[in-house]
Amino acid sequence: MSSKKVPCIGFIQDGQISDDKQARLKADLNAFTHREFEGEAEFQWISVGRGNGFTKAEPSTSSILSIRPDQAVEQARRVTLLKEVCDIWMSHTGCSLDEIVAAIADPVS
Amino acid sequence: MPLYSCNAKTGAIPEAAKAKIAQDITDIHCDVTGAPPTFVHTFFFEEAAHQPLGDHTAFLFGQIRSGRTEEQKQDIRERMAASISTHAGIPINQILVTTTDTPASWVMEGGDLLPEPGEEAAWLAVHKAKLAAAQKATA
Repeated sequence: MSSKKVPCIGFIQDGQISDDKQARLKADLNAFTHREFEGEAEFQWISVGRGNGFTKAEPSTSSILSIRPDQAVEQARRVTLLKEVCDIWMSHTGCSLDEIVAAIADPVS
Repeated sequence: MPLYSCNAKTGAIPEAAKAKIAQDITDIHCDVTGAPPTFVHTFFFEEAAHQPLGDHTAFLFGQIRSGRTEEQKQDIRERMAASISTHAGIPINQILVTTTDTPASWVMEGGDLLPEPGEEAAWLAVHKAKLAAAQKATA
């Protein structure tokens, strides 16, 4: 079992995604980080309280996920992986594609 | 993206002020950068551990796309700090505003990689057409 951690920082709107759905989402994202980056997903899940999230200055339904592997990712692969992350997110949350912002960051030197 | 995350001491930013500050942050970002409002996310927190306040009463942290000039970023910081001060009544010297650059190519929004600065209009046109086609196909 690898001890490597892959930080996954998510902002989600309070009450938008049930605990059950979040658990399934995390399980699939963990499988994703194991397969692609050989590490355990280390979740920092930040809930945005009701009335505290805005997108284009209107109440927000957006979720934002940033995955930070310890290796640089070639751009074509990044695009493929980001699409997969968005698919995972939509399949478990019922959110639309326009409600998801996903990032896969390279390590900062 | 951009994501503006505003952490503050409990009760320092009244509930009624948040929508006004979010509107200002959106307007200022779009005015300075030319980005469309639909990209601008503003989230508020109180005493949040992920964004330590230090000695400040409010801390606005903006994750913006790479490519903005130092002058643009300075303008953003000063005008957003003034907005928070005006609407929340927090002295300007108790407000910290910082930004960090994120390459557009790292971020997917609405199923497409974000455009580079200055390419937003073409991106939005293509994105809207793509969404319309997808909706038509599923109708």
